Amino acid sequence: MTTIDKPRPTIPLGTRDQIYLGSLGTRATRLCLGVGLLALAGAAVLGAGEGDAMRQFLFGYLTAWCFFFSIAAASLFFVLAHHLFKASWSVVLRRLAETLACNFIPLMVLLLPILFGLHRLYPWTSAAYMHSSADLQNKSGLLNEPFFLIRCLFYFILLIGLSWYFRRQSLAQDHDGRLSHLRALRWHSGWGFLALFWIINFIGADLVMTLQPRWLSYAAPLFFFSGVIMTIYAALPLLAMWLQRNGRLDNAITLDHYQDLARWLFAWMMFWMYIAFAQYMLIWYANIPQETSFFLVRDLQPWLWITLALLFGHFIMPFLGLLPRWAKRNKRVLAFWCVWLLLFGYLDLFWQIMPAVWVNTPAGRVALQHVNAFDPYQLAPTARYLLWIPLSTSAILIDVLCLLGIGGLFLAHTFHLLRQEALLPLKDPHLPSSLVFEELV
Amino acid sequence: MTTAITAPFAPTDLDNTGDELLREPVLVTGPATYQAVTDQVCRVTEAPRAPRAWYVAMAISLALLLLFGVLITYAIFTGVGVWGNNSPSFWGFPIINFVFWVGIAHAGTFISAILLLFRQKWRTGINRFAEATTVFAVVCAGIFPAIHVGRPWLAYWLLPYPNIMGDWPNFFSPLLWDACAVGTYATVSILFWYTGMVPDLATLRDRATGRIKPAVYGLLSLGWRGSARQWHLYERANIILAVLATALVLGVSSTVSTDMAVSQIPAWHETIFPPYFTAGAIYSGFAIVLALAIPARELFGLKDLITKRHLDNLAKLALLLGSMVLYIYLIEFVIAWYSGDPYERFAYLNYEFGPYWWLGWGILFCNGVVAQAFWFKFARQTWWIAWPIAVLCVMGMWMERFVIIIVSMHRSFLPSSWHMFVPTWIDIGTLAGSFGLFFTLFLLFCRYCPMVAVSEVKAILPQAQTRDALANGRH
Repeated sequence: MTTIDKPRPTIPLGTRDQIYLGSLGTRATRLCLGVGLLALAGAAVLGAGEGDAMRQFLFGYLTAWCFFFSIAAASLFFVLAHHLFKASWSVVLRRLAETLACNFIPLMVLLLPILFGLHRLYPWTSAAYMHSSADLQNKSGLLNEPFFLIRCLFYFILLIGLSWYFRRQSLAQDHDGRLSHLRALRWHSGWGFLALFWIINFIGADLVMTLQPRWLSYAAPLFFFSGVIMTIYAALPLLAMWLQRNGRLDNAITLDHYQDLARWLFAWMMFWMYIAFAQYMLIWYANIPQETSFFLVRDLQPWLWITLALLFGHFIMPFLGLLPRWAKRNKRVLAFWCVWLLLFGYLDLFWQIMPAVWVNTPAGRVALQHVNAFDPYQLAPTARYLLWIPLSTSAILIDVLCLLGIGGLFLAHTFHLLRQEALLPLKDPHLPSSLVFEELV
Repeated sequence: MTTAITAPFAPTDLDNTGDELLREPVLVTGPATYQAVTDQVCRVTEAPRAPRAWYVAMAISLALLLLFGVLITYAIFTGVGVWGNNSPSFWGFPIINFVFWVGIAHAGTFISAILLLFRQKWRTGINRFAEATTVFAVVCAGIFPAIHVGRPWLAYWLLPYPNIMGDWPNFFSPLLWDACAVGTYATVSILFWYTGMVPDLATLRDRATGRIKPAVYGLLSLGWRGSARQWHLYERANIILAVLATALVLGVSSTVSTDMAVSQIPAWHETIFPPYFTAGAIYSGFAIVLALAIPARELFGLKDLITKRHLDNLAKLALLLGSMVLYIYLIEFVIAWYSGDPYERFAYLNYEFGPYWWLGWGILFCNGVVAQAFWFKFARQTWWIAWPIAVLCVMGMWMERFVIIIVSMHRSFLPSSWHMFVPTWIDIGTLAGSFGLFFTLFLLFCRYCPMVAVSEVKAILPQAQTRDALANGRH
């Protein structure tokens, strides 16, 4: 039996300064922490000034939280997929993904305002609302606060356990170089991969789908999942480019790695569109009120513009932009599309979450019934006004501050972890082949 | 005296499934020379006689094929009333069989196209005959809608074409989408399969003796000479067809799922149906490739090319897809309950506790539980465990099609229109006959075509790994 020794070329990794974040990490941590705290405080103050019992703040906060949860969950997905499929090209990116995935503890802490504000976000927390119809009463076994909290706790125990285990084993290998760590990671990646897939789906159902408890779609959890996973393939190239601009990982991450990341970004964007289209087309075709309520709201001005913006911005334009090989290998172009798709990833969550701000008000419910029953485009002026609430200037300012706030704290924790260890898994046996990885097509 | 195929060659059949952390995994376990690979594959077609088991299998398959032909002819001349189709189960066995065979047709393309794009080198050992299963399964699938229309000579009315009556099919009808999707899929699959075979057919041509074989293989190999230009065009065509086929893997099953999902029937109208059908299709496809690979490698002495590692990887992929299917079953039950819709809830209760309860639990067992045995290496690598599991998975997917199509339809909104569906012996015979068609084609392919992609396997031999091995990480 003939075997091939793994190639072990000598790669000039550079000096210690190039594979450790060092003081840059400290500065970045402080900056992000400061920005994050200030922005969150600003958002809270503005939210309190809205006079809506913090509803707008909480919705903006939930959207921003979901966005950064997406990046952490997708990073864990990246790490697990790397081990499950025994990939070697992505070894140079693994430490960055492992670190981004280790943000579930801060994310759990940041979930607390949402849990305290459940009554303002989720109408199913109101007993009167749940007793208002038989179909809602049927759902009370799932939609009740104790069970919701137990589910959240269960999700986070698993997510924190998985992410910390994978990082800890990886760091241990950096120190002792033993292959047993890699074997253990590969072994656990199988069940971990499936568990993560299920958890992301269920979190999507719990946090997003139940904002409109009467609405349901079998594909809604998978739609959330498809949007989640895409984010890491946009975030990783940006993080890698930032590190390289600051003199880190110069020799390690090459255009070939960027090209592969861009291919995955393209593939997940296509998958998002596939699920989005399947869901929309089938709901449109069957035209059942229980399902169409979701799209009727998003088919009215001004939300129609966001729906169309998603069609063009989340699919058609990046599809054309990322299709050529040169675009995937040009850092500036790729950076543009990564930022673009991250923005549209956020807009996708905004589109899924924000209309619930008015749908869940009594006036909104009346308006929605009116929409269902008669001409969907003839709304009363009050209802028309309600549609615009989440898009008012102050509401958008709150959303931006929430995004900066949670993002700042998320990145501060990421940089804090990154500065502690090498930016590469130094003793991974596949690191040499990853360093010389070349795209042949 | 004639020679059986396996007689002069003893495959090493080494265990190459170890988790190689410091070495590239071994994908050819026998003598890893170009000549040895060519010999191992070509000797199957060059041997004057096939193994005895091949003749037995061929006899059974031909008998079933004959039955298939007779029963279809009988149904056409007598009318579709000979089937068990009734009101409300209008679709009956023909559409169950159609959806089932379309699903089976997915693994070949997945293995060849998607694993090619992911640069999975192990695919080279099994891609050729996986592609063959795709093509033969599409042939089986295409027959059923054609006979189900009742007047198969008018089946072309499904397609939009300019005609003197100026009428067009309903473009909003998923039946039209089906005809277009399956037609496109058949075209691309055949092209992909055949294009990939051309260099190996040329090898058979060059080695053939006598008068007929060189002429036939010469005709089939389309003048292949192996020039640099031909290889360049061949590689480009392969990549382009792989990209097209990848999109079709997602598209065709999704389109087939809309036959049900666009309606308002409980348990049919589910927005998750397109990815559900795709996952189920690929899952059943992997199962049948595994079920065929296990005896084929034994029978034709190909254990060094279709190694234990190939079977191990196939089983792992079946496990992954099976777990996706299990997730979708769970989502279906949870969301049906969550919907609060009494009809939706009833449909799922009827799956498990209605008159067809044994099928409802059967699919949970075959598709949800059995494949989970592949978590254990022992189950993946012991043929007498892996093979029955693969067969159960295939059976489970056929039962799933039955449950979706019949069990959902036989008790829909109005109890006054409920009606049991009982297949006739002609239904059952036609289903068995379709397997006869599939296996006849498959056995002919094994005997007369290069069953393993010789040129692609050579490209993964150690001596072929130059720049590629040094430069590329596995994906």
